[in-house]
Amino acid sequence: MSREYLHDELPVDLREQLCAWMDGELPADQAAFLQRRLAHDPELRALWERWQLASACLRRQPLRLMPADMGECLVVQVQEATAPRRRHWPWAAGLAAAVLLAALLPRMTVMETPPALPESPRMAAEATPLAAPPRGPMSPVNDGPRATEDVLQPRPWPRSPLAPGEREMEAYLVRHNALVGDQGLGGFMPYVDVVVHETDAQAETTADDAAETDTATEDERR
Amino acid sequence: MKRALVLLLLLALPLQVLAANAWLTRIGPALRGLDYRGTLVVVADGRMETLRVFHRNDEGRERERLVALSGPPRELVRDGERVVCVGTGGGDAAYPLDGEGHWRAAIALGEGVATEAYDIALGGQGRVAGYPAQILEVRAGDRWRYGYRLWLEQDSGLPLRVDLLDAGGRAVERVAFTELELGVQPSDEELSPSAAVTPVPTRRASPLPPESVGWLVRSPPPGFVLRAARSQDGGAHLLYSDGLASVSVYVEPAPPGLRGSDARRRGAVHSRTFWADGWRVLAIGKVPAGTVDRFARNLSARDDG
Repeated sequence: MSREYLHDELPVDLREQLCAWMDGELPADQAAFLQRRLAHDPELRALWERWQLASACLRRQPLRLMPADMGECLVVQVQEATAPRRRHWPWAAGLAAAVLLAALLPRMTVMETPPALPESPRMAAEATPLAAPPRGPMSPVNDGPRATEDVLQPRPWPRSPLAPGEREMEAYLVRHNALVGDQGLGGFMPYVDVVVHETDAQAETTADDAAETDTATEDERR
Repeated sequence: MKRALVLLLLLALPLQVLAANAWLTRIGPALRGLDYRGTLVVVADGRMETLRVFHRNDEGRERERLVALSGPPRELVRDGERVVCVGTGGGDAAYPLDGEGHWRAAIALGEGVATEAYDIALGGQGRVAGYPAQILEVRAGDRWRYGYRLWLEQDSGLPLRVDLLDAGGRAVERVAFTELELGVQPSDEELSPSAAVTPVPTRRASPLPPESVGWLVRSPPPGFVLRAARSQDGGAHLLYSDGLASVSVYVEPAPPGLRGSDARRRGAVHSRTFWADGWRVLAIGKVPAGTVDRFARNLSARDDG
């Protein structure tokens, strides 16, 4: 029977790495190493899952507990499903599936495409009469007050320096309401939304910032 | 006889639409121009919140204070110059409005509503917080916006109850007065924040003619048009609206090399954020999630500038 790690038994450096990873602040190479280690160390994985559970509870995120052996069950099912076996599909069914895929694939690709922004602020500056973007204050590394603010605010996991925090969201909403009012546009007591709904009921953040942030920092050092 | 009846019906239908539009036009001025004090109940996501509402118009200077009576203590004060939030999600903060938020005659409701976007009809009579009300049905024509069922006070047109409806006609949010004193001027004390709050430093925004902004949303949902634009620190704030629903799109410079996305909900308000290629784009508005997603995905630099 496998024994679970106790928090205090965990080597300090490993504990720090896990914390950093949870905060989205672990460099990509170390994160990859940690991922491999988790994949092969069930005790460590159990501890990691407990941490995530605690983190989700603290952020009051909705939870659905799964059976402890769900991971293993899934592995077995996937292995069974992907095991080679004889196909009895008639050639017409295969052709129909290929046509369907060809018809749907471009649409699926379009749905997942982020906005087509110019590749760099320089290009945008050429296209727009607005002033060139000041880069310094936007940097999560250089901006002192913003960094302090981030520490104080609960943020979705994995953290990204650009995922808007709670105060930022409030500021955007206030500015939105102000401009709507300024234009004499509709809205029925729009500021009720600022007071009543204090936290995000759902927050989904995806970021592959860690690796690229690290790269950017390296570039800046050079 | 039958022909006369049909003719009468055909004549009555446009009159009904005109009457419904006339009611819609009264809402904006009532919301902004009237003095009132009351208790508001908000039901959404299976939760109920109660707010105390104070509103006063001092010769064009609109002042409002919303105080949460349930849950953690929260309040918002708006006085034309700034919006002060105490205890709300972002902590205590005062947001200077920097030219925005000044009172302007609300002409858009009714006159500015995209007619193809909504089907507006008069409903029956009702009663809310002791006041007789005219019910107005504003059905969304598509899934890009919410519909509304409004209970409007008979004499002033003030919304006494607002049901926000999804594409299936189900109420996403209900806001209703349970008690209201119309025509009563709240005191200065009632309109002042209960705590001193440090102003949040904000970036200066300058109004721009919409056609001169370097960004635009290509193919916004039908009925939404660019109503206002602001330039801000090398980025921009664009406001799109169909007259009832509005979406703000913020585009701001971001550190290079970062890429990600974020989707959030705050009651019926949705936001969608993408960051890539040195820019961050955030769309926010009281519209379905798919609408802010479409706005955020379709922002691009104007190539005719």
